[in-house]
Amino acid sequence: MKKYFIFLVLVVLLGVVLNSFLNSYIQAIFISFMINAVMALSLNFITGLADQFSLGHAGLMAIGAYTSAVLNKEFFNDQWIMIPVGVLCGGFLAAVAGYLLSLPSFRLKGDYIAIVTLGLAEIVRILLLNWKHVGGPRGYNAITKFPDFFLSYGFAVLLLFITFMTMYRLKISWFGRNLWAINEDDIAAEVMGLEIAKTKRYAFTISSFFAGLGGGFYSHHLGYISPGSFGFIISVQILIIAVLGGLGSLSGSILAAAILTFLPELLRSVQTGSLDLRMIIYPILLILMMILRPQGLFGRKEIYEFLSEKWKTKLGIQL
Amino acid sequence: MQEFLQHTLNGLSIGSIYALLALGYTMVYGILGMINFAHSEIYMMGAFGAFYTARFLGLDTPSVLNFAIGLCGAVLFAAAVGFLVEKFAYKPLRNSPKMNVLITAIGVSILFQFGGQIIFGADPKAFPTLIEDQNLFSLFDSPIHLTDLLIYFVSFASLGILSFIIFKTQTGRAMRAVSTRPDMTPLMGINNNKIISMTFVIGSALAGVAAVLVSIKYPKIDPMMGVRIGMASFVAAVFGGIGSLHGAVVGGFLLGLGETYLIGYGASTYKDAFSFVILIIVLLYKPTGLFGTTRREKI
Amino acid sequence: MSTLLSVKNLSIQFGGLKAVDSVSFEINKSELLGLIGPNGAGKTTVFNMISGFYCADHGDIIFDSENINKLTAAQVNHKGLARTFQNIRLFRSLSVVENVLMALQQRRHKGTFSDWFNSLFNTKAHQLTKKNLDLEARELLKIFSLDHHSLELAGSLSYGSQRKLEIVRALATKPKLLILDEPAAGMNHQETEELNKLIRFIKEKFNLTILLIEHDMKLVMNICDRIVVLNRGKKIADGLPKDVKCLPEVIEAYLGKKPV
Repeated sequence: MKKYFIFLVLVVLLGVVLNSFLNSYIQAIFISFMINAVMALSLNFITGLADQFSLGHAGLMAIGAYTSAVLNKEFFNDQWIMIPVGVLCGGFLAAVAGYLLSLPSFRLKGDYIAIVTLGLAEIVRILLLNWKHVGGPRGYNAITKFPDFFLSYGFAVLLLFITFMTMYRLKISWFGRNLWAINEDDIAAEVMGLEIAKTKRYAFTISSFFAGLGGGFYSHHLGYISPGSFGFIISVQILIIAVLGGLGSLSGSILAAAILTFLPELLRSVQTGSLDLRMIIYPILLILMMILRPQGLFGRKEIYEFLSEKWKTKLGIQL
Repeated sequence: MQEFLQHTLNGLSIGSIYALLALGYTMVYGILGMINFAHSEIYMMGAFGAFYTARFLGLDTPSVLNFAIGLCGAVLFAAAVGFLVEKFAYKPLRNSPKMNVLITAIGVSILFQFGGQIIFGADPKAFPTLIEDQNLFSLFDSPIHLTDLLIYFVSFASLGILSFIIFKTQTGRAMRAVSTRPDMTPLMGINNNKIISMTFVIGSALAGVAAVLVSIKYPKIDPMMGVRIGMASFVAAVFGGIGSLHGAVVGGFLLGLGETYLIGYGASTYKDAFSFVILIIVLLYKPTGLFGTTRREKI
Repeated sequence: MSTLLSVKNLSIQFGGLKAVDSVSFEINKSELLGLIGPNGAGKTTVFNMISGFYCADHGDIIFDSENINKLTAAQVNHKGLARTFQNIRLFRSLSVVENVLMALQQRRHKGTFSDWFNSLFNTKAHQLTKKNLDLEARELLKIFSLDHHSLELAGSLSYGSQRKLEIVRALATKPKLLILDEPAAGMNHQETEELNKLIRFIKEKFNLTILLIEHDMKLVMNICDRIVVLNRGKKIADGLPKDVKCLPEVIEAYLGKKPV
């Protein structure tokens, strides 16, 4: 219990500092960091732990975002108190989409899920472009926002915390072991009595759920979304975060989300003209990393596993 | 009837493009077991290869010769790019997990898209008129364009050359051998790396051909031009049964025809989604595709 | 004696090749049956059909008076059938104890609501289950004196220990019938001797029925209660080891025809 209390105090302190000493620009960056972390965790769960490549997380994010935004504006009378409900609904709808998608995809081996998810993102984008009621290509405006930063911040921290804890607990449980065993040798895993397709389906549905949550909150954070906010590039950006942190390392994803959210903002001053240099740097980073350090920063391990024994006991971490 | 014929002709020409590109996907998948996401960018580079060939050689009068030169430029350029991509991005990862290779492929693809925007500029460029389009004759009142005929002719010729290489030459035999048992071929004195390189070069050359054919019909090229057509072609390859050459061709034509009918009879805004819907249906009902075979894993 | 597994007229065809052609045999409870035959006789194919990897074209596989022919490999395992592989298939980068745990947990965690709930909230019940599973795994390892390796990676074990671990892992799924696919492959004389003892030992200790595919004649002759001989996809003999050894068909299958 003690460590959760310390964590809470730290979070509140950071919130106070952000709220009273820093401007809204930096506050917004903090929130986007947490959304990026949720998205990266979601992708890491399916790609890192279950070894299934998803290229459509932006599509799942879009489902969550539009669901939550539309629900809040059209049905919940624009009340910020209902935002969590909307976000949750977004998560559920994304999970349903993910589940339906996973039905055909895991029937055979291969990287079909990569293409199928890519297709999902594309189909979602096209449907949204053609859906006049939510603005089509112009986007959906004036989405309900939290009235002040503290609420928004609190919700983001809660979201990230829940995402991380869920995935972490699953990673170190029987489910995580099943996923790992499938990665190692699916035939042997099957002979042990494990239903492979079903296990992968669960993993993908869970991942989709959190992608939906992340997307839902994203819409309320920005207050404006359009089909263009969920292009292929976003999927790639999420992928880069997960890869940098280490596929399979959940805490690594959070750290990488921090690095890749704050660093570009720092570099913003050196950017030239209209050109988005990130889209050159990211792929180069990806390729170099795959050749030189494919396991990312932390590989499959969590950050604390690199601490000395003394610190582990001090922090009350037991394996 | 006339309308239907028109759609069919259009469908065949877009289908032959899909077939050429799907072959590239299917060949690489067959030999390395990976989805070469960068293939669509090699196609894009082919178009720019032809563009710059035409510009530097000053090919401004439309003629068959100029078309042939542009085609050669595209093929050589695309093949070179394919070769380099394989050598520098994929070869170092020959023994890595599949996931890493896939991620690299994504990286290469994005690098070309955005690198292309820096080098060539993001705005669409007008592709030079290498050959003058004209109505040659009419068939049941539908005009037959020279470009369409050229597309049929060149793509069938390329398919012919490809099947000659794959089924009649020593290299082709080696390629087929590597795709079935890459662990055994070195013992037979085959240099796997060389054969894999060769596969990339041939696949990329086909992408170069496709790029020129598309560009003479729709003369606007830009660095993102490969994205949509690349995905559709990949779906065509899966539809036909990934790893199967005949499947890629048949899948390409079927997808091209289906798509054109869809656009022709309404629903054009959903054109881009069409291929993915097909993909999901294929995975549901015949996951190995039309010509694919399930490979029994030795247990 | 009651029959545990009976295979009736089993056939499968790969392309033009009839790999297994109407093979029938039975295994009685707590029997050790050896399935032998020269290379390419179809032994492993029969195994793969029994364990649910291939679906037979014709014939039935009755296990514990249930037809399991159409079941998947996972479902076959649920019925109480475990197997090992000719080329060892361990989860190489999981530790030794995790390999066993992975097999053990399939009986405990079937993905019910309470499984998910407990592991998500790390409840007392979950911690207890975890501890019990761990104890059980270590105990099992101890029986096979692999316990001092339990935290090493499975892939780093010696060849003999890997074979042993694979058997332990199969046992952890609590089977009624254990199928061993050429367990002596790649072993030297001394290791085979040890394996011989090990198989006898597990048969007694866990009261198991065992089906064994083997090349090593000595091992088969020593430990099997009964032997079925396959050649070119067909059964050519079925009987006690000492009888089968002398049958002319069997000698012919292995050594070729005696010149007249």
